[in-house]
Amino acid sequence: MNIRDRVKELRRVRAADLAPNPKNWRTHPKAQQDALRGILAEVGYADALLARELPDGSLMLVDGHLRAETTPEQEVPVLVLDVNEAEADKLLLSLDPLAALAETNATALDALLREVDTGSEGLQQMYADMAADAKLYVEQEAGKADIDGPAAKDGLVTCPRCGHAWKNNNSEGKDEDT
Amino acid sequence: MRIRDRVVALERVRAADLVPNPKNWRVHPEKQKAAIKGILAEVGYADAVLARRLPDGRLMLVDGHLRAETTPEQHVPVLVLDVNEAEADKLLLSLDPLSAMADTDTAALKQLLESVEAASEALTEMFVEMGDAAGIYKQQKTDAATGSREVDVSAMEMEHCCPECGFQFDGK
Repeated sequence: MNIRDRVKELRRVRAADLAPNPKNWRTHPKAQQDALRGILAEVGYADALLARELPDGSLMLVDGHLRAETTPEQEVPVLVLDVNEAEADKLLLSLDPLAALAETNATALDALLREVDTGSEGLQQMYADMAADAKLYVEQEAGKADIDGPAAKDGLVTCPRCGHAWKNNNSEGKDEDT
Repeated sequence: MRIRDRVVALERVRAADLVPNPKNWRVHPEKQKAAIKGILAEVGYADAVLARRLPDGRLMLVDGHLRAETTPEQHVPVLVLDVNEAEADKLLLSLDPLSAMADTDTAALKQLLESVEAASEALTEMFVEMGDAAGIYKQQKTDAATGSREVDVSAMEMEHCCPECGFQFDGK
């Protein structure tokens, strides 16, 4: 397989000068904003944003919208790509979902979670969610009565979007309205 | 917020010379391998892998294990980071989950799915599943990809579906 190298250069650019991609389909909830601030404060910029050069010489983002919004006045590392609009669209559509196709080695994740310390509440919350998703620490958590909050204790599930609450009465995850 | 810039340089390195991180906790199913091959064939290397320099001068991966494994003989773009082991561990643990916390603007996703054409079957299948997960009807792409509807959406199914508004989510 002959793979083309589409990375032209590494450049530092003031984040606010990067044009957001009007086709961006990812939105960024507060939990993600908090976790990103955590990693930026504790480690810093350890990856580059991706952008392509437009005919007028300006740079349009392909990846890194949240980082750019988070630190608009900062000079951030950007990889300038020589891709056309159709290719940029394909990247915009594919990059996050491609990474999300990976699965978890629970033993390795457990070891890392025990080793990594963070002072950021956003990151702590993210790590707790990762542990829960991988079914780590199940024993400890089973002992805590209020681990799932008052709604779960009553066997109720509450929709985070509309606030509707209903009875979650089986383990199959099939929901039934009350 | 004063943010440090930890990127030292952009280098090209033969992928097989990059040392895998022994603490890597991500595993790569066939479906992902096929989709990565698709995007590499259709677009190419459009992002760098991340690595830190070890005391003996070699580069150890922080991100990009699957890409490195996929094209071992290729010289790939690498961002060299000046992070220590503890910081590399934190990045290894955080990068994928951080990006996975984003939500979907369904209208924008639908527009992109309608305009982007993938030649690769694996990429096409990934796009179909993204459309399904977001509740977007993608009959044409399904037909083009497999001739029949044979899509495993179980990995993307959420634990709960609100009977009131249809929102899907995990947890309580």
